[in-house]
Amino acid sequence: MESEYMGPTAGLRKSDARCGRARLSLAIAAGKGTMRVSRLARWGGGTSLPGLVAEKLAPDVSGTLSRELPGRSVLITGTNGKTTTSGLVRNILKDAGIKPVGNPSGSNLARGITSCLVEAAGLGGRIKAKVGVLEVDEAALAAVSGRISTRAIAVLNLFRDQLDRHGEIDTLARLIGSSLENAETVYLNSDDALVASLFRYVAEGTKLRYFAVDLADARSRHGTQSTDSDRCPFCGARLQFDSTTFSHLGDYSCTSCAFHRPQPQVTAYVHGFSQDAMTLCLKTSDESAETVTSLVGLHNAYNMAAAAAIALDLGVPLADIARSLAGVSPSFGRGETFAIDDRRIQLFLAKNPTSFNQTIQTIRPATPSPWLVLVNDNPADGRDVSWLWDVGFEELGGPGAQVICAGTRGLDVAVRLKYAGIESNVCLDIRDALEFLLEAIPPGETGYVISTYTAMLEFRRLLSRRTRAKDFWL
Amino acid sequence: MKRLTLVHLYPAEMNTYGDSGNVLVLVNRLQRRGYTCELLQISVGDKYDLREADIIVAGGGQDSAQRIIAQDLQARKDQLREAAREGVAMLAVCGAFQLFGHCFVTADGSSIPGIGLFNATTVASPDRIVGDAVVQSCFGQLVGFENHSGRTSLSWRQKPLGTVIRGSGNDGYWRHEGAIFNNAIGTYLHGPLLSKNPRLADALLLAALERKLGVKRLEPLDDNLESSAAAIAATRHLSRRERLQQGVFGLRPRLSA
Repeated sequence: MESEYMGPTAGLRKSDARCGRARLSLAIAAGKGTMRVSRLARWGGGTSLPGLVAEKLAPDVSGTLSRELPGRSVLITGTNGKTTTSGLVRNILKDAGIKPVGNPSGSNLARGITSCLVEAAGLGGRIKAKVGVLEVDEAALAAVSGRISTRAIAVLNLFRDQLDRHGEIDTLARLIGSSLENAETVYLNSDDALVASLFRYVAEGTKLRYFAVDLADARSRHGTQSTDSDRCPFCGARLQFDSTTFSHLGDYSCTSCAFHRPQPQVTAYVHGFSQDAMTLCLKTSDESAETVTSLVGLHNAYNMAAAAAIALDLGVPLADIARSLAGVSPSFGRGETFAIDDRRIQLFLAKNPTSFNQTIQTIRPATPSPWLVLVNDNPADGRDVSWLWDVGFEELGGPGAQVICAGTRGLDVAVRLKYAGIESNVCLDIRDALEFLLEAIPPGETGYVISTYTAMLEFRRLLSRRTRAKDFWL
Repeated sequence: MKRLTLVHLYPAEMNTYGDSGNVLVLVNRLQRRGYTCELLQISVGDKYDLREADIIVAGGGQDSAQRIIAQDLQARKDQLREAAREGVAMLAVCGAFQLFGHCFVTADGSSIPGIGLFNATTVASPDRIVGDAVVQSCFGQLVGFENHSGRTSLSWRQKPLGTVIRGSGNDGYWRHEGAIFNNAIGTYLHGPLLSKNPRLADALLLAALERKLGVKRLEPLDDNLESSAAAIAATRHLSRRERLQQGVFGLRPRLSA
């Protein structure tokens, strides 16, 4: 018979401690062992297999471990910016002396989350951290929030992404909405009409907070590529935009019913940004704080607004949040720069038309620098690559730039570029692509890489071997 | 005058899977051969007689978008059917293919009326058909990506576009893919379809050019890249070794000076 686990969960109801202590310890040990082996064998970061192993041995291991966290967990979901936002929140908490636990590698399906909890736990099933800050895949949110002791859920945005896995964006919104009842606080992006409309799923008594971005000076033009939702989520009439920040995010109101952009509690006012710094002012109803960060781009302004809203509720003063944001550097594969001899390579992760277009806007001023596009169609990237035709590659056209395509669907990229009037070279092997890119970069200059998820992992491993840069788990 | 009119139907509402790429491919291939092309984007409420078009392209959309355009499409029903009878080249992908049939019964049981250009009906199903597909058609082998939850059944009088070699096709049962009537083609294949199947793109262009200008033959273009991409997509389920045995090597890397 299994011994009842009476450790730190002794105060909880019996049914809460569903894992026997021995079984839990065994699962954690097995998970940690798998992680060690997979990293030594260089299979990868060991971000999902350990979770699978641990779950096989003790099905409720993630739930049990998550109840160890006194501050419980904040789940962050949305199409773009999950990794960056959760990284920002963890940074802010660390600076404030609150120890967080999270999944910084971006492994955000149920197993990845189990893996990161197993990694943080001791063999006895205790976790030293105070609060979990976890990024969760949109489609996995329902399963994860049901299992993990959840404090809050933040929904960053909903763009078109991996349609083969998620199906339609409206269905996805419904799925996310149905899991919001598991949280006590819900953070929604008030600039994204579909996300803001999720308030209808929020139960009474749940705290609802909105965040947004405002551009201090000139408003961005309306009608960029790939507008995913310009229809009212309630009545289907066209939304009218007074201003937009990018894509379909902005200040909207419905032309037919009463739906309009809700008043945000936390706003990031962007004063201006260059290629390597952005000035913004975080404002709540009664205070404000200025900050200058090295994370550029309006998408990062949204990430910071969300991070600030979450951190405020965890008891961090706004001034401290602003100070922490000024000290952050780009996270894993999101604009990281690698130096190889006297050449630099900057690596951008892009998973869908919106993040591709944002990246293109970021690197456009640097043309005609050489650039490389890596597109894989593994399940984690999304097997459908039709979205490449929604990306505005035309903006990167122009004479002189060396362009290389690689990855399992590198040829699809090459065809897309051909019809955008850009001639490119195709490498079937990602190692050749790196060599060609290095050859194409003039000494002292920078080359740019835009890559989907699994290709980014592979390319980053190659780069870190060349530069002896640390892998994220070292 | 070497000029064609290409109509993109509902570009904002029905463009979920990069299907606007089909328009890009058609325009590009016309221009490379020295023809000019007037591209018209027709949305809900726009006044235009579709019988004046030479090529009509419509893409896939979500259920909610299909509801939005359904009423407007009904108003254009007679024009579209007459145009198809007269041999206007058309390409209707996914959501548009469904609404070019008789009706589409959505997941909640409500029915969206179509225009009956194809003799087909569609019913939503809880599971999605997703994956690379290879189809044998009268335009040769077609390669694309299927991603739909609707199951379309063709009437016995309706000719399908082709037979599925790999993938599921219209309903995952009869191995039929798409539908064809005169020069009007309906299909579930994304990719976008014409980017990987230049022969089909040229067939549509030739049909339009022949009808308008009496052109009998199109100048061939270099389609190596497109065919290689299609070959990779068609053999994606095979291992590297099996692919080599079938003679699909992909391209050799090259670096221009």
